[in-house]
Amino acid sequence: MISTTGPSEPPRVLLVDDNDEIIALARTTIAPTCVVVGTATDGPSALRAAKDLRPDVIVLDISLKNMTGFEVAANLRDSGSMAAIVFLSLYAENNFVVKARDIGAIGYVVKTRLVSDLMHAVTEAHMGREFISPLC
Amino acid sequence: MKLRLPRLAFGRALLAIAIIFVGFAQFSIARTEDLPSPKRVLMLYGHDPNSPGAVAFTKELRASVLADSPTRAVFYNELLDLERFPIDERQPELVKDIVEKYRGYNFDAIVTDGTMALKFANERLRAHFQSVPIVYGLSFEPGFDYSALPDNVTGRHHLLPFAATFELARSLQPEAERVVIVGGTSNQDAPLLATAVKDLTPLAGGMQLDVWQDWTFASLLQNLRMLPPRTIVVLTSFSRDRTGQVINSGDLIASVTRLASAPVYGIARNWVGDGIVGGVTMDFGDDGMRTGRLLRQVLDRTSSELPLPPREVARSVQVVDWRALERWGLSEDQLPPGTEVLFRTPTVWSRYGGYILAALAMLVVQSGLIAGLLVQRARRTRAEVDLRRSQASLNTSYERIRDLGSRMLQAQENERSRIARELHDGIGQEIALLATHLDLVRTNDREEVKRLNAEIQTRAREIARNIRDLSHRLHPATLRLIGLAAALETLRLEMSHSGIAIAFTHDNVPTTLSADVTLCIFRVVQEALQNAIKYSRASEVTVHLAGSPGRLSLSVVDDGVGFDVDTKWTKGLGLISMRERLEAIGGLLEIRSNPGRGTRVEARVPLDVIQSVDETRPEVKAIRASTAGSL
Repeated sequence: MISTTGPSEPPRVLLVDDNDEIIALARTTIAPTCVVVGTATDGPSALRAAKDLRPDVIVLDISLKNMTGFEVAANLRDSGSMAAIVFLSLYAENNFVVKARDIGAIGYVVKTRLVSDLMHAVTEAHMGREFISPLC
Repeated sequence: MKLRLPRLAFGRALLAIAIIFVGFAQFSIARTEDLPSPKRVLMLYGHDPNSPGAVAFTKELRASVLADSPTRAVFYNELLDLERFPIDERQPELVKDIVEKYRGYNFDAIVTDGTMALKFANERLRAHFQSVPIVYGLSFEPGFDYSALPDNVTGRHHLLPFAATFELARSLQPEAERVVIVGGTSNQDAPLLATAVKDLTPLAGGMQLDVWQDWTFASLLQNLRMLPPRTIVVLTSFSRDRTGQVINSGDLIASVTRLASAPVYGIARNWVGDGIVGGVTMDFGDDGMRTGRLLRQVLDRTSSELPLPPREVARSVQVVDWRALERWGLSEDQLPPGTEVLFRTPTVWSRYGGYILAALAMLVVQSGLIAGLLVQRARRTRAEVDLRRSQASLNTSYERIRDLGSRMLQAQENERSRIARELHDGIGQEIALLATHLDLVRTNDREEVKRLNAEIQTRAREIARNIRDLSHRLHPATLRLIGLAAALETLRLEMSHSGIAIAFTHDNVPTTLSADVTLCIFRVVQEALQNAIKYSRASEVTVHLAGSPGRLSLSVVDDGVGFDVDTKWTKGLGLISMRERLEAIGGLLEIRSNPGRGTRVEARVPLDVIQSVDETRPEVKAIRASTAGSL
């Protein structure tokens, strides 16, 4: 799988969260430097969107209906997706970060720090660099 | 006409009366004339007429003559007493006496008792009672030639059955070594004894044969007492002993047989019953009856010219006394066929067999009924015991459920109160402070706004965290998101804030555990840790979770003060909820604790349950299949 955009291009982002307001806030937050190519509110539609839209970065909530964000990420990885994954979660716990890393995520943003951290985390992920929100 | 009619009727009536009267007169005359004149019979007794044999003979003879016969007979008895008075000595006087006595009596028959009487009648009286037929009976004395008797003599005589009696004795006592023949000294005894000796001598074989004759009655009894048991005693006739004492043989039997130390046999039917074993016997009663028949035929003759009925020889009867057989231990099986066994005491069985069988049958039936009733009662008792037991167990269960119910309601109320308190005192308080800060933002200067903003942000994050923690305690959503082991690690971190050192290790825990199992194990660990923190005063708690083929094992061990497990079960819901949760998924809970020696909680869950539960999540697989290889 080859990305259609290079690091110099603004990253193409897929937003996945079951809360519309969070999606709206995230879209606004990353708009200056990113292109939001699509959104999804559950695991299966996120998988379909990832396949169809081929985003550079997927911002993924962990606590989704039907499937967890971890399961969606593992599924993407298993199916050969090259998209960088940035988790966006309420859980400011090390266990979650460890689990996210195990699955192959490159960023972890705690929702309470969305405004200050998300754009940076997405940009860093697009560049291939890890970003983790402070867990406090 | 009217006047003549009654006169005619009267005459006729008179005539009828006359005819009836004449008819009656003729009838009564005819009846008187039809009765035959009684027959006169002279009985000449050679034996003692009071001896049992003679008594039976006379009785049967008379009965036989008089029964069913129109003949009337009158008996005239003459006692010759020939045993004591030999006939030759006083013959002329005796004959003269009888002739004088019965002059003018036209006897229709003379009956003689015994051979000597027959001889007397035939030889001495014949001249005087020439045409009178003689009928003889009770004739058993030997040495008389019956064929020489004239035509107008008939009767029956016996052949002395000594030989046959001896054969019978031999068959009953095959081991006998000695035979003793006993007889008296009278002129009637001697020929009988001689006959017996003559008859038995060739039959005795190697046996010792003794003849006891010229003895006193006392010495006879004395010697009979001392006979060895393997002896056969044959009693012939004993009507006079050595001292001249006249004894009736029949009267002698009872004392002889009672005292003898060996079985005694005899030839008279009437002796059987007085103690002798038996013998081939002369039946004098039967003899009397049959002689009586002959006499009746003689008397019933319509003419004295008609021939007399033919003479007969009496048949001997083989008879034994069952009581004597028993006394001497002689086997009935040894008896020759056709032997008549008298005085057999019926056995209890033969007498009451029917009753015994009926009683036994009733006993069996009653026993069966009683047994049946007992079995039924036992079953009923058992059923009642079972019933009482199950009722008791039901009551216990009911009590337990009621107790659990009330404890559950209490626990629910406690939990609600805790949540309410947390919402009100914790989160509510925080939000109130947040609102206050927001209010301050509106009124203060720029620098102050910046500071307040930062504070608001901190407080809002704090609120979010509190809410998340509360939610997590209510239901550990992280289980679903990060799995059992990671969730337990998180739990460990949370609980470690209490100041107790908690170690958590895990080994080979399957990644695909069902939601039921993960929640169950999580709750058990949570409960066990809470108990340890609250009650154990332990410094350290170790939690270990291990997966092995077929099983998932959990242990929570503390070094605290321990407790009495049995009493704890009945309080609170903690231990019960742990057990109930585990049993619901096929697992087991074991708690070992002793006061002062720490507590060990162990739980085991079978793995096949886990796998089967795991298969109930097809959703994930379906999604994986739809996305596989698509990117």
